[in-house]
This record gives sequence, C-alpha cells and structure tokens, in this order.
Amino acid sequence: MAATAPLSAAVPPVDRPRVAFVGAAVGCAAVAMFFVAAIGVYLRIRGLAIADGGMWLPEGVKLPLPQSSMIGLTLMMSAATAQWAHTAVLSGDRAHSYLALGLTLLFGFAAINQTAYLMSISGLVVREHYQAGLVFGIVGAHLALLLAAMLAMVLVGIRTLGGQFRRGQTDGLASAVLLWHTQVIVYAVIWYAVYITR
Amino acid sequence: MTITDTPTDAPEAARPVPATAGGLAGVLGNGDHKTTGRLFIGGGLALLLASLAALASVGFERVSVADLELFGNANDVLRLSSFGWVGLVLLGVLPLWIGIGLVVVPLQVGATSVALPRAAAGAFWGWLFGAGLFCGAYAVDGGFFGTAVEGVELSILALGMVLASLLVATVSVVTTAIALRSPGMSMSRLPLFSWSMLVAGSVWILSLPALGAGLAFAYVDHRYGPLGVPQLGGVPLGSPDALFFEVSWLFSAPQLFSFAIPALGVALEVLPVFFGSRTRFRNVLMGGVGVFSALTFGAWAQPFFAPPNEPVSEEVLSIAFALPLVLPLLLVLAAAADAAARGKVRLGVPVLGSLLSILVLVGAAAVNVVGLVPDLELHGTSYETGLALAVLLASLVAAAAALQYWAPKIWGGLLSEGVGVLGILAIAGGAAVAGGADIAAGFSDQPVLHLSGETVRDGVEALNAAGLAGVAMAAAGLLLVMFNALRATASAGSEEVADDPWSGHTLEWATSSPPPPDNFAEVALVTSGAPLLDARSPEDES
Repeated sequence: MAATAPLSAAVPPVDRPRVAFVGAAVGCAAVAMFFVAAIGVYLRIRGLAIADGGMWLPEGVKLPLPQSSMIGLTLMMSAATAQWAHTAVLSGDRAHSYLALGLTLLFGFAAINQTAYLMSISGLVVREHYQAGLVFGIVGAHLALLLAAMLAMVLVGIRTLGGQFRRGQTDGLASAVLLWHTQVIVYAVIWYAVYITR
Repeated sequence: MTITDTPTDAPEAARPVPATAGGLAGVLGNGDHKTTGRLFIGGGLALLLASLAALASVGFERVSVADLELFGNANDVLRLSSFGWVGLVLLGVLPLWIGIGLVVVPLQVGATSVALPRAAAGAFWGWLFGAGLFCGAYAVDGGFFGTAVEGVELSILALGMVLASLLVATVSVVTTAIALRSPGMSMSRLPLFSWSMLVAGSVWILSLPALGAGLAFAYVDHRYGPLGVPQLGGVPLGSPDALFFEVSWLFSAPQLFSFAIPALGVALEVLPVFFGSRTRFRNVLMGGVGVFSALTFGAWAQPFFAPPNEPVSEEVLSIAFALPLVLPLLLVLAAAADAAARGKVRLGVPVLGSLLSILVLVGAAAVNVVGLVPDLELHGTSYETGLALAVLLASLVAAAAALQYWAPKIWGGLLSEGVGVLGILAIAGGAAVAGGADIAAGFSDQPVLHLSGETVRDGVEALNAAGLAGVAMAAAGLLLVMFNALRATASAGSEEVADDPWSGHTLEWATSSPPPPDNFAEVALVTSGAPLLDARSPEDES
C-alpha cells in the first residue's frame, strides 16, 4: 500500500466493545418510534370518537384491567430477571446466569399466554369492530417484539454461556437485555394508553 | 509514521489476511461494507430508473387529459403513479444514499469495517427481496389502488420488509459513525458527509417506523376486516384507495426534505476540497445540517393527526418547520462562497453536482413556503408532486456527484468526466423542468393524481408535456450515471488509480483505491476535522 500523506501519529488498534450495544440502542429507538406512532394513531382516532359524543369501545367489548395489569407485573419481573442474567454473566456466575435466563424466558411465555387469553375474552372482532384492528395491531406488534426479544435472549444466552462472550465482555447480552427492557417499557405505555384509558 | 506505512520492523505475516470467496459466493456471502454498499447503489439506481419510467408513463397519459392513451382504465394510472412515488423514495433515493453511506462512512471515520456488517448485508438481501415482492404485487393487480385482495396484502407486507431492511442498514451506518470513529475523532471532528449521514439516519430511524405502524394497521384491517373508520370519513384503514393517502406524508414536506439531508454533507465535503481551502466554522455548519435535519422530521405530519377537514400543510407546525428550512441551505452556499474566496477554485463534476443540488433545494424550500398560503389552495394539487420531484431529483443529483467523487473508493476507478457532466446536467434540468411544470400545473388546480376526463384549465396539458419531458430528461441522466458506474465496475483493477486523486481532506483518501478488505493498515490518531490537509500543510492548522 502506498503512503499518501503523513498523519499526526499512528496508534495501536483500538478495542471497541460497545458496537453491538450502540447498534441495539439505535435499533431500539426505531422500535420505540414504531409504537409511539401506532399509539398516536390509536389515541387520535379514539379522541375523535369520544369528541363525537360516542363511547370508544363498542357495547359488549371489555378490556379488563386485572389481566392486563398482571401482564405488566409479569413483564416487570422479567425485566428484573433479564438484568439479573446480565449481572450474573458479568460476575461469571454460571448457575445464576442459567436460572435468570430461564426465568426471563418463562415470564415471556407467560406474558404471551396472558395476552392471548385477554384478547380472547375481550369480545373484540375485527370484522365487526373497527377498534379491533387498532387494538390487535398494537397488541400483535408488541407480541412480535416480545418474541423477537425472547429469540435474542436465547441466541445471545447460548453464545454467552457457551463461552463466546467472556466474563466482563457481555456486549451481546447487554444488547438483548436492552431490547427486553424496551419491550417492557413499550408494554407499560400500551397498558396506559389502551387498557387504562379504554 | 504515515497512516499507510508498513512498519519496517514488523514481520510481513503479522497481519492476518481476511479470507475472501470469489464469484457468486463472494457476492452472496460477503460482509464487506464496500460490497454491500455497491449492491445497494446498483439496486437503488436500477429501481430508481423503474420508478421514473412509471412516472414517465403516467406523465405521458396526462399530456392528453381527455382520454386514456396508454392504459385501459384510470385505476391503472393510479396504480402506476403510486408505484412510481413509493419506488422513488423507498426503492431508489433512500437505498442509494444508504449504499453510499455504507461505503464511505466507515472509510471516513477510519474504521476497518462497518458496524454490524452481517446485519447490513442481510438488510440488502431483505430489501431486494421485499422490493421484488412489491413489484410482483403490482404485477398481479395488487399494490396501492389494486383490486386483487391477496396482491394488496402482499404489497403491504413487501413494503414492510423493504422498510425494515432499510432501517437495519441505516442502524448500521449510524452505529458506525457513533461507535467506530478513530481515536481522537470527536463528534466535532467527524467528516461533514458522515455527520450528514448520522443526522439523516437518525431522522429516518425516528420517522420511518411511523410508516411501518400505519402499514401494520392497514394490513390487519385489510386482512381481517375491512371496516370503515367513522372518524376518517368511513374509509377502512386497509382500503387500497386509502393506502396511498396514508403513506403520502413520506413524499410531502417536511419529511420529503429528509431524503436530501446527505446532499448538504456532500456539498460541504466536496467544495472545500475542490476549492483547496479549509472548512471554517465547522461547528456552525454541523449545527446547520442538524437544524435542517430536525426540521425535516415529518412523522407528525401524517393525515391521521391532522384536524378533520384541515390539510396538514395548514397546521402551525407545518409553518414553523417550513419557514426556517431554507436557512441551512443558504448557510451551505455561504460556506461554499467562503471556501471559494479563500482558495483556488477548481471545477469538477462533483462541484457542479453539489452546487446544482443545493440550488434546486433552495428553490424547493422557497416554493414550500409559498404552498403554505391557504388562499392559494395548493393542497391536493400537483404542486405537491412537483415539489416532491424537485427535492428527490435534487437529492439524486447530489448522489450522482457523490458517486463521481468517491468512485475511486467505491469502484477503484475514476468515472468519465464528460458522461458525468451530461448525467448531472440532465437530472438537474429534469428536476427543474418536471418539478416546475407540476408546480405550475398545481397553481392551475390540477389534482395530485390526475385522472383522465377531468376538467382542467387551459395550458395544463402543455405543462404536463413539459413535466413529461423533465422526467424523461432525469431518466436519461440517470441512465448516464448508471452507464458510468457500470463502466467503472467493468474496468475495476485494470488501470492504476491514485489513492487521493482530489487531494482530499479526510481519512478515506489515506488508503488505497480501491481500499483493501480491512480498509486501513493502521489506525490513525485524528487531531482535526481535516487530518490529511493537516498532514499536507501543518502550518495552516489553525
């Protein structure tokens, strides 16, 4: 390679351990904006419906609070266990890492199960209620995000526990945990905008 | 020691040489950012041409508004028109800039690779597959205004895939600019093109997911409904007729201008190099590009959020965003004048392209302000398509200038100057003529998506003919750019190209042309925004 111009100095190659985490943070910003826009549209149409003097949810449709709050609690617990997994890997505690990752995934499955039950008892039918398309769109997108976060936890967890990421080098797991926290926060917003305000 | 020197005391075999596959495997399985960038550039240019061809067909139909010359029915005109507009943005201009960013940003920040290279490569194939599905959906009578139910659903899903892929590639570029900068390269020392890609990418990442949200609602409604939303005039969210309306904010102000943000970066990068002078007031210029970017954030301008029966363009936010938009563009022109006054002006295709694109953008930003006057009643007229054409084609002019400038790093060879000049002049001329004609027709009340048989004022047909000529000019210019790029690809490696043919200021010119797989032999310590200029003239470092 030919020399072109002398620069100030040359330094040894730098270690850049946070690239995946920065990438995950930028990606999570995009995910958050998806839900901000979706909930914005939902609240806008809901606001117009109420301004017209009508009720938002049609007669016979209910979005019960106990079930939706329980989903929130489950996801909050999963956020704690996800962070626990990260801390355990950081400190090289393999047993706690397995336990925390397993619990996180279990809470994730529980949240999916609870959401499916909640939607089944809501009485919302897309072919009958235009509100259903909006609710199912938001709830379905959150479920897709939850599944993606679970997949990320499984993949990164396997790679971490398999030894690819060493103790103190948990960039990949930190990225998956960030995605997990993002979906928990997204659910918190959905809980308020869709289930609390109804 | 220079950045590209091999230390004399280092053994030759000290640096591992990355294994590379050849042929199809080399393309399909390659995670090199330059290959991914070239693929995005090639795909973007090809689909831009298809989009312009679609718009030209619609333009041909509009020359005579009394009857249908090319198409069997008016719905086909609407379908082709919608394909042209969506394609121009999501299949053309956006992937083109992402491709240029994928090649140039890692080189400018002194990185050995792009961040998340496999994600970026996967994003290209996802985008290509999604774009193919989108085109296929139109072929089976789907797409916006389509009549085949499955075809419409396929087009929504395909567009979602295109969008997600473009966002992943954008994340890769943005992360590179944030996390992979050379030691000493603080954010204020980031090369101005990389800065423009960083802020443009941020705007795209924060605004385009809103389109995804709209598509998700549309898909659920179309697949399992559809039911009319009373608050939206009884129109179902997933209705093929409503889909185009729901995505129209993408090619309307202010979001429209976000696809031209990198044009500012190209001008600020190219002009000081060709004028042989150091960029002054870098922080002010970076701030100007940042302000321009912030003003182009348009996710709030969706028809969903507009008050009932009131166009988005008449909202206070629209006025607040439109009025200052021209100022950063004038700042770029002022910086160019300053650089020219202090240096020795050297002309070249990149200079011509960058200046023309900024001038067209200044005109478009000014016209955008005129459109806010409610008494003119320009909302819903072809004024809006004229503005979109002018901005998107101006962005294409800047992209052509960027390709000409960075060709040694993209393809390993210089592009033909003559072909480059002709191409850029044709696209810029097309932007002015097609955009101007549509804007003028808008003042004569021609609707956005004009249907045959509607009554129009005298002279509109002549304006439509001029618009058709403008789009054809732009398409011809694009063909010349593609020819130039293809020739460079074919002749890559056959002739020796200087590492730094323009006497550039930033790190990409410190490596060979084309760059090796890992870009740089050594990591440079950067002490200013123009490290190579410092190295050439250290006495001028102030």
